Amino acid sequence: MKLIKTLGIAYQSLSKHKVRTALTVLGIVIGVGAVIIVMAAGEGVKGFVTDEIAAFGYDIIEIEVKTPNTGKTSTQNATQMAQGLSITTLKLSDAEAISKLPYVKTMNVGVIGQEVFNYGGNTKTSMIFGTDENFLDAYNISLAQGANLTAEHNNSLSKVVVLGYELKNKIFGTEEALGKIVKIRNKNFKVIGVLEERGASFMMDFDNIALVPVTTLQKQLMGIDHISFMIAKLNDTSFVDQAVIEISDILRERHNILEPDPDKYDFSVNTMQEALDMLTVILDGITLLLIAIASISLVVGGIGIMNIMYVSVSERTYEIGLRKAVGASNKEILRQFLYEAALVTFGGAIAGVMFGALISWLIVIIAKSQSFGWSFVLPISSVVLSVVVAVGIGLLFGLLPAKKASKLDPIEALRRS
Amino acid sequence: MANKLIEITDLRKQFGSDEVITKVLHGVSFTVNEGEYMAIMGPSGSGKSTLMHIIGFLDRLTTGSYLYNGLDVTKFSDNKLASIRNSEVGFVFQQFNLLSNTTVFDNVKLPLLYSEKKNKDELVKQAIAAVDLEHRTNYISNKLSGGEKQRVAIARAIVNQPKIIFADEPTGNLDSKAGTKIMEIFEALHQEGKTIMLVTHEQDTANHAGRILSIRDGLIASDIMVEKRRLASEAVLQK
Repeated sequence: MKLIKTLGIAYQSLSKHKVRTALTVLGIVIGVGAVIIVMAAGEGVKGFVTDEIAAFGYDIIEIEVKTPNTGKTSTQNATQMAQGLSITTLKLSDAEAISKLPYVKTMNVGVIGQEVFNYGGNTKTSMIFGTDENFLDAYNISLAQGANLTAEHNNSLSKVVVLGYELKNKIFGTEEALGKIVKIRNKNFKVIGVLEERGASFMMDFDNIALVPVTTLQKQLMGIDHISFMIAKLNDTSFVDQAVIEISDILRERHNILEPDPDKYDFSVNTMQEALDMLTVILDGITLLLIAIASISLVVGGIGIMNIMYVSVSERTYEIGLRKAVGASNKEILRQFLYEAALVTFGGAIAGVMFGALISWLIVIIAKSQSFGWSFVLPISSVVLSVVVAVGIGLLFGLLPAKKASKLDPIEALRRS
Repeated sequence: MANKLIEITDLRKQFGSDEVITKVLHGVSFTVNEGEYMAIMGPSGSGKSTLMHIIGFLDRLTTGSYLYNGLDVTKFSDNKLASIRNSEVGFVFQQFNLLSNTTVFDNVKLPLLYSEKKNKDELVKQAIAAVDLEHRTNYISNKLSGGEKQRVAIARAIVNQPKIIFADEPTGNLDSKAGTKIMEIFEALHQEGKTIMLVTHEQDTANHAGRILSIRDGLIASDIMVEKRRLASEAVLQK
């Protein structure tokens, strides 16, 4: 009852200074809005990444080359690979050995390179994958036109190519591409298929790649006998843990690595769950950092409240004296000013949530227009958290001015009027 | 026999710290009976307002004793003093001290915000009616004349149905017509049985009271019942 009564008094006082109250609220609106935007964006991106990984499926295991004596997620490995350190120990025969495991449904291998494509004088540079007939299945991509690569293509080092949707348009425009000859490093390749439009997916633009038989890329174009990666698709996700161990053992044996220490290996065996966990940790870290930055504006809003509350106490000294003269106790004055601060922040927090939600929604609209499958997520926890923190900040920063108000001597306060 | 409401004995009050001490009241003793209409008179700086603040529970004495209804006020906590200010006394100030941009109704209601009394709106209406301001109930206080503002202040002072009304120079800022109206209201309240303590430096205003306590240099210079003073004056005139 006392709470409602004091809230009523606080509300009356605030409503008499509408502009000042509105400006004070603005600081909190921006602070809470920023926190909501960051949290909603964090959740949205996390959902986006999870969906992207789910699109590949959790039943696949990726094996790729790694700098020996480094952790697979280490900066050292990433740097050396980026600098072009070539690990040549992963071979097609490794893939054949792994494919013999009973739970391995299909095995896809690949070499990645960059080549110049030429058709009728039109030259384009694009990423090229030397791979096999299982690439489409491993990455869940379909053909828009024509046919897939086959085992026969690889056996016979055929000069055939499947073009990504966008790459086909870049090279051929609206012209039919199937059956046409495109030059890759001045060698004639026959276009046998075009991939469906897929867009950028999980840090790879599938619309701007070309697929050729891995043996063709190795022997005809690059002059190598190693591969860069393998993807094993399993019969079921329940085999994932077992597969990681057994694939590692097979490759360790074949590469003559005695010590069963993954850091010593010249390859890494990765699951999609690992990738998701790693990305989730990174995204959570980034979100937390951004929330911390956004929270600064919330604290600034709190300082704004303290400032305004001090001004308010000074301005209303006479009112405080009068209230005390007619029977308000120190506690009642303290409560009134604290509730004023809490009301301002609560109102600001609610407006901030709405403002943040609106901006987050607009961001999603823009992201979607840029082909990012990002959905609008407004976690209830973020709403509750930001409102509670905002009101807490209001109470915290309102406490000192409220104490000052409650300790005013009524006679002195009335005299100052 | 009238009930002793206030008993002050050897009341002393000083302000300031060890280095600069200002002694305002030097040992004041008097009693006030319930229903009495008393004026405290004295020149500026005599200590009359300080005395009113102490007996009005707004300030504490330095030494001496103050019994209210037989209870030792010096032992009251700040909360108890606030509660007594709310339920037992009403204040009327020279500067009116109304909340600006607030209606007459809300100004009068202010003490009730800190009271547990029921039917608050009804009490506010009764208090406004007692000062003949029903037609101004929803007016913003800033738009009223000085006399009307002081009547609002009186309504606020009586809304909690207090035993005592303290008025500090209530006509000090008013013209004579408005001042007369205010004094008529005090007279009516006195007739209703309220104890009224009026602080003033104007003899005409003090003459409305039944008793005049004169303060000079922090001491009681005289304490005269007005009726006796009137008889004494008439006797002097007859001689």
